Amino acid sequence: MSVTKNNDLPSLPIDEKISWLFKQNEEHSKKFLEQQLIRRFYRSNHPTEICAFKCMDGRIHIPLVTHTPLGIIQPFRNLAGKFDLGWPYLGEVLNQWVDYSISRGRQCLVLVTYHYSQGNNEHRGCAGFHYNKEASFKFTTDFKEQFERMFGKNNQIVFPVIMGFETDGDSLILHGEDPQNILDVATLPMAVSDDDLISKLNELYPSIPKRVIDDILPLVKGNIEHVAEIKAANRPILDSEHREWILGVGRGFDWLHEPNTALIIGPYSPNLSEPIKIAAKIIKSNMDAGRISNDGFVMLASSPYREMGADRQRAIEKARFIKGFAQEVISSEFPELQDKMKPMAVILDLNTRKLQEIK
Amino acid sequence: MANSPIEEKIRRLRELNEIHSDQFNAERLKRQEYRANYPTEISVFKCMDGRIHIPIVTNTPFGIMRPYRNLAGYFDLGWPYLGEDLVNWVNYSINKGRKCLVMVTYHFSAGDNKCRGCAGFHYSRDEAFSFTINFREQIERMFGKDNGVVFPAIVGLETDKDILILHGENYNDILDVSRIEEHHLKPKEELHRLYPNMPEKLLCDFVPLVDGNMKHIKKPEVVNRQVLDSEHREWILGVGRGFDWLHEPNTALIVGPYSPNLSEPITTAAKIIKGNMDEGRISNDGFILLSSAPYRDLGLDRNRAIEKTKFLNNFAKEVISEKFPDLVGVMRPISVIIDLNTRKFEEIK
Repeated sequence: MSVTKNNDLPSLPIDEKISWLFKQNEEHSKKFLEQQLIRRFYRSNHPTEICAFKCMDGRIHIPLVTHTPLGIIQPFRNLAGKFDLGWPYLGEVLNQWVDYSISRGRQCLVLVTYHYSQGNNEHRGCAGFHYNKEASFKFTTDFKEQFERMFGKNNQIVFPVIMGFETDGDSLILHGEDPQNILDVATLPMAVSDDDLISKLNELYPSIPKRVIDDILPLVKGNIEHVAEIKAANRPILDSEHREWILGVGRGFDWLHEPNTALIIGPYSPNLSEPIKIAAKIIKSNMDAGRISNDGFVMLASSPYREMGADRQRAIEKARFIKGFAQEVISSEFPELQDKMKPMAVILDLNTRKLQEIK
Repeated sequence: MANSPIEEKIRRLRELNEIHSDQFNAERLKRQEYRANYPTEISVFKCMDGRIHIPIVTNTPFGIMRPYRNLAGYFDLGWPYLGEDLVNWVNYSINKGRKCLVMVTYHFSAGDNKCRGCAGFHYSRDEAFSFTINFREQIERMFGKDNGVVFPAIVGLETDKDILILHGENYNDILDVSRIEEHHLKPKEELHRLYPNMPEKLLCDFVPLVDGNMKHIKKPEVVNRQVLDSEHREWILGVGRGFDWLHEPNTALIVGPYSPNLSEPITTAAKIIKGNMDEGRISNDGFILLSSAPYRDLGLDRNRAIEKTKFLNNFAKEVISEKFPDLVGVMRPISVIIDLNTRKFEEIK
């Protein structure tokens, strides 16, 4: 099958989409290996570890909109970008990430994101926050405060920053330490100098050290370029609406960076059935409204591993469990989706980003 | 205590923690000696049921066994947090040069399993046992069969008399601890028979658990225990971790934070507490919803415990309020963090 333009993809028959999915993973894995040097180069120039807390929404792709090499930003995804550091598994994974960064002598930048649509937030905003931008923003300020409670305010290692994402034009809105101070990347000229940007970032984040500011800079510059590309491409509004046909549950999805293709739910919530239900509802409405073909959707349970042996075995058990769990939730909540669901459990080798299906 | 007014129970809870924290501190040397003699790390997967206390029924000092609790003793290593925690525990043990004994337990009542068995497995001993076989196999899949480090063993607990039933590598080979003396058996030889592939060091560290159970089941308070005390009488619904100080039998239902569908075991536990009230086995003026998170270090570790216990308390409150609105008025929510160095709790407002 030839590489299909994403505009057509949601309307293709499900079997073709599944072939596309595997092909996409092959291509990405190849690219990921080819980009090894670029990634290492980026890391050595920008050593700050970055993670992004974001909505499961398929339109949100921080690496893509910041032109950051894949594999640099660690994603945490959930319904509406809602998280609680009191969730046992989330706290554990985040703690390990911070410990890893510290052991490497790196600081940690935590992007706490929300998203909205400039053109029509009541329709294309965040369903998980009932299309209310204020509610999303309020959540991010609370979540940032929770970070400060947990790691200590001005701890000089872990820096949570609030970032809005405008999905019509893919521009970032950076909120400063005083969240009312903002920098809207869409308003910046292409020709803005690094010095200008750094001085704006210093104004926003007076407590953040130079090393980390220098590593926020490429994210902003990447976004300036990306926003210009989107403007030039005159992207149709349809592509800013939900058209996802993959319901992903688990971790290890960063290879799947085709926008608006997958709703991705991290395995963090101790009430995991809730985001799965909402995601299934969105997929159902995509089918009902004819934004995707109505002959099926993929329920993709994924778990990553780095080493052979117990690590890989555990990934298999996890992917299997998640698949069974999500199937049960969807079948009981939306019996009409049962026949359309194509469930798959995969494990992902983090060294190659290659997936392997588990039967 | 089960029939005392709730205010007195709350006072008793605080008092129990003080007593056990003092005891835990006083037993420090004993624990260190036990560890030096029996270095194998031991974890126990068990039902949330308040009648199941493996350290008590094996006479093992507190703080030696790592408990994993959930509804019915039902677990899946595919649960993200559980898998993470177990792997961390195994890695910790390996770093210390210790092997790992994983006790996969089920429980039943010899006298009346239909009434005093495991509600989570519909009072079916076969169902409970069958689950433990599957779970043991999952542990073997994950860590490798005969890996020489992590050894899972299936253990049944008969709750009328607190007797352990050990199942061998061939599950049908069993050792009923209450029969050892009667048949003049030698525990170590019996363990060899049951577990031909168990590493010698690990097997040696298993022996004191069997010896401890032999002593426990002869205690007059166990031999003469009333049947009522073998029925559910819990008045604490515990959610989280760090409850091993709370080893008063039949006092607390403890739900570990492992299931990705945490509302389910909380709902079942609340239903049991409601049943205890409705049947008059406990006073009906209140029960304690106790969320707990342990920490070892000040700073981040303690801060994280605070966030966790707050979350668990709110989450459990929401679940119970939604499923059992009639329990809201009698629910007494308390959030605590536990200092693992002292087992002392601190209430978080």
